[in-house]
Amino acid sequence: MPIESKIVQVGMSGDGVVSRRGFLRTLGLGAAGLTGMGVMPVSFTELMVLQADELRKRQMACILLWMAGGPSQFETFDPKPGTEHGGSTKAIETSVPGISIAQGWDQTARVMKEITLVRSMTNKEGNHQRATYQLHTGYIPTATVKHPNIGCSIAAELGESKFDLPHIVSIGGPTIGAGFLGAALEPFVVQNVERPPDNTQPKVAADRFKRRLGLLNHLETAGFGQTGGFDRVKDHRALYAQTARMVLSPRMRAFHLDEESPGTREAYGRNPFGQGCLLARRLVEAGVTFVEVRSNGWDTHQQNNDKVATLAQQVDPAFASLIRDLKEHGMLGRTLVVWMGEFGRTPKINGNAGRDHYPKVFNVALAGGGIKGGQVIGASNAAGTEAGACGPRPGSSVSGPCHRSRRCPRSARPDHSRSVRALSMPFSVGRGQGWPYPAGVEPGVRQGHSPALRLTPRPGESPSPLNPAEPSAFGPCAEEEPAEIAPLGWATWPSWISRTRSSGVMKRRS
Amino acid sequence: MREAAGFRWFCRPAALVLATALTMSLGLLAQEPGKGEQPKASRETSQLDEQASREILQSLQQLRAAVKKRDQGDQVKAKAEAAKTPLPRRPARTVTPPSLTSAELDRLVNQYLKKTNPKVEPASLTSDVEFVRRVHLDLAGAPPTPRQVVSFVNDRSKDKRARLVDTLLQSPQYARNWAHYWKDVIRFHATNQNLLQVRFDAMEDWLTEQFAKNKPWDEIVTAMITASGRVDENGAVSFPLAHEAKPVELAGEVSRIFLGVQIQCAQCHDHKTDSWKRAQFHEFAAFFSGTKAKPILRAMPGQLPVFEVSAQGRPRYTMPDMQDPNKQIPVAPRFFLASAMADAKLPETLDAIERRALGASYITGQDNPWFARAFVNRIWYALMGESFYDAVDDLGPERTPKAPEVIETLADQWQKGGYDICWLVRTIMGTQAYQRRVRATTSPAGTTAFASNCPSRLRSDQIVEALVEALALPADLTAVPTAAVNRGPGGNPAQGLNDPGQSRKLAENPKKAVEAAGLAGAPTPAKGQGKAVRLGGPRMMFNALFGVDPSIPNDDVLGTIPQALFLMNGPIIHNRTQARPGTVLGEILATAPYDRAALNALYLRVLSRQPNAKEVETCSAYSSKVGNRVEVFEDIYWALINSTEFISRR
Repeated sequence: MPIESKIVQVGMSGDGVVSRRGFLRTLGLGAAGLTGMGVMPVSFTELMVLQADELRKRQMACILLWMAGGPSQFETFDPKPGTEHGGSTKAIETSVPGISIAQGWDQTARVMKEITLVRSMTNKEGNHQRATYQLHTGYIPTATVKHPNIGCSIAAELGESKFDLPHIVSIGGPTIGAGFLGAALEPFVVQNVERPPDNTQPKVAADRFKRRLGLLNHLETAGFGQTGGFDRVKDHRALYAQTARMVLSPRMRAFHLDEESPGTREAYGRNPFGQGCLLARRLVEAGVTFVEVRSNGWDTHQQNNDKVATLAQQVDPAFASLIRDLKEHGMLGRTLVVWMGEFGRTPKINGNAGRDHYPKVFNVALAGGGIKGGQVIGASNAAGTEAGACGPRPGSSVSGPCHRSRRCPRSARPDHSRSVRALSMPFSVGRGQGWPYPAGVEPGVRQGHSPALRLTPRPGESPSPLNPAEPSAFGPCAEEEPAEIAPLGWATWPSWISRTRSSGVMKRRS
Repeated sequence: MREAAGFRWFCRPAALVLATALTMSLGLLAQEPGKGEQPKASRETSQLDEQASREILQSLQQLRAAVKKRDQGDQVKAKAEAAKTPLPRRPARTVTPPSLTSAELDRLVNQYLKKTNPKVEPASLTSDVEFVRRVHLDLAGAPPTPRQVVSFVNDRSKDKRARLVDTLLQSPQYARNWAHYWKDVIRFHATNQNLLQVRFDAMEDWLTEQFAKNKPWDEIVTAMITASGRVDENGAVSFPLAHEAKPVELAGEVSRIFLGVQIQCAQCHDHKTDSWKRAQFHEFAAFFSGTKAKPILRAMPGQLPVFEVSAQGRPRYTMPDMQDPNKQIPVAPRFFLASAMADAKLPETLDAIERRALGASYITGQDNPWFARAFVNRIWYALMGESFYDAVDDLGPERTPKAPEVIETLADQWQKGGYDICWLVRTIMGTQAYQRRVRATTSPAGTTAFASNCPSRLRSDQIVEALVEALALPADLTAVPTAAVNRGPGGNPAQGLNDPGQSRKLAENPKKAVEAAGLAGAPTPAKGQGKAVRLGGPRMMFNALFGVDPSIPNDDVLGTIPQALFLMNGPIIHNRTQARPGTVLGEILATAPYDRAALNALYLRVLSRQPNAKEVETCSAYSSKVGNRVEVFEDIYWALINSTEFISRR
């Protein structure tokens, strides 16, 4: 079956090594609880694999703005002014009535029409490295398997093999690597955006460079290629061909930021993060699939408000300019922008006027990629201590990619069909009240379900309770059936199947 | 977060207060029934407060004493119980000088070849030129200098190969080379890869010492498993620290690295394809219970953090119940391989030190064949490019090896001989099987197991040594001051690396040195790249860029784009392949009488051999096309450094 072969393919690393874990993982939680349904739970990776052709045609790309350290939700996109935990942070109005964010984010407020805020993110991991790993890969770190960065998985599926540039680029520092997908998909790191990446410019003239490569080829054929190194030489030659293609490619101009007008560069901000976002836009324009731009310093255990204010001065204009710029270039529809950190910060302000780690509730901002902007999904409670008000579905995840919108074959209710056009990463939105471990399930690496999240109303539909601008407009979710996906015409499954942990991000249900 | 943690934190004092209150009001102290009368007797209101507080104090003290007595009683009972179950007596190591010679080993291998592939002709033996480079890289981790090559080739004695192996086995580079190998094996799968916390460099230094003294392998492994103390005093402590001293992590890795058995899949459920049960995994993990890592010194500017590992107390190891995750099932330690399974069950109350010692004894014991087979298989794989099993870290009773008679005999002899590593290496290197030429899959000898040696990529530290030798770089990869004319491409003044003053500045500032070397983009595992750079400088960053897990099969090790970029366009390569006075090429061109001699000298320097006829022809054709002698030789030099052969062992 073609679908199965695709799924098996994902389980193989780039080196052809089939890991049992990888294989089983892509099959999801398999038969447990699926008797009689004939339905397999699917994961983000599977969805992406299934939809890869579609995504490739649309040239989908993703830019991740990674706020390293864990940004405070109270001082970013989920302020609680006037409450016990809100601190002295004021809220400002945005261009979408009913949505307010923290002060200091004025430019982002102006482009709120393009942004979806998810305020009910919740997790259990409060350690930087582990949480970063979880949010980047969708899995809990373990010594047995090195999971790939989701960007690498995406690049593996969507990237053209003969493309000049690396498919996944990390700006501002190294990130989680390609794991079992192999060294060929390791993120390409750009440390300093002010100049082209290290070692990408030949130190000799282009003619001489090509000449030398030719000499290298000939010498290898005459030498080691004859005396037992044929296989090694073949691999080496392929790598050098790819690298030379990159070095000589006109697309490398994407790294030359001085080609942009000074006005644009000023708008993004003359700082590493701002210029990094500009570089990200140029790379996506050039055809790179996944770009991560890193902003350091969000681990504000001390002087939280001051530090966030300083950081916001850099991140706010960059984020807003990026969205505006992508829209002006007509790229916003095919580029998903994710603003995210590894966890949030405590409601209680500590003795150093700072906030400590708090994975229980944090927020994420999404834009582009077909997501309907100007909405808030989920909410934290009034005190900001729990992912409170009803999210779209307890236990549901925003998953991947592009499903065609399908009508649920079982129900006539239009708001049961889901369409997700976003190429996004799996994470959990929900009440903050998760599910107990089903019998026989051990804590460990698990493949999660990722039923789709309704993000775009179908034409002609009235806004459903799941698509409001305000959390209070959420209707009672409990009676509704769980968000379901119906990829490629498969039957949907009942609510009790979604009672498992989503990939790596967990909640406990009372 | 406190609210979320529940009310457990004030449980204890609340319980004490409650207990005291109860005691006072009911006068019920279990151990001291007499004292209960006193509070009722003295009820004079004027003395009530004083008396009451004294009573409270007394009751608290009595309660504490009672609890202590009960605990001690428990411990005494536990000790008595433990004393009743005798610990299995583990046999001491016996040493029988092995009777297996290289010739005998060859006979076994040839027998296997004749049995499985009688039609295939094994590859011929290596020439002296090929042998000297291979042995130098395999043992010392660095290619031979031109002088060493020439002197070996010109040596007329019959036993020169064996003597070369012996000489290299005595050299300090041998110990460092293999210490780096094992450090990489451990580091790439470590739970905590933070270089600042785990001090892998100290582990490498400690291992170097052990290999230099030719300590038996079982002693080295026992020392690593039972290591305790501060990581800055005992390098072996880095091993448990690398796994955060957690029993489940240690169990999985000790089994994978030293036994070659992948049992970590059985941590959460019975192994899906092998016969290991979840209980067996946890019984093995129970050996490591009670080992704890704790920070002694915090990280401060100018000071690295220091952790300490210790095995303390009488731990109770439990595993979560599959049916009800809140319930914990106590588990006694038990070894899951070989004859140990017949031993009586060990008590659950073993203390932590005994557990580790016993665990190490089971793992390294001469009644456990897998310890020896895992090591022998790895060494064979590193030296021959081929393994008896499909993966070097996936052996075990449920895997079928190629040529079982060879691996089992060799491992058995090595084990009985007391785990002498030098003997093993010398025996393997003395065989014709090792000394055969490399063959690719295009030839029948290349596709047949053990009919030829297999080429493989060098490790990152070996590539560093090769670059240091070929380009005459300083060992730490910082700039080399060269006097005289600066010349860059297209007549621009050359940058940084040629200026002596600048090179001094670079040596003092590792971060700048790393950037000048073009290594700033290398992926470092530790968070805080800056600290890692300060710790190791350009050489560490180079290892981060070129480093590969030695447990990955050779065929799966492909290069990455950043590696290729570094060699193609990196400042070090570019600068040092230029023909200036003071560089290798400058000297060669100045002293060689004619072009052919210069080419020979260049090949000898970079690839430790002479060019063959076709290569000479190619270079001549290139020379006539390009014309400029200096440019031609610079391009040839660059091509040789960027060739596959330069970064491979053959």
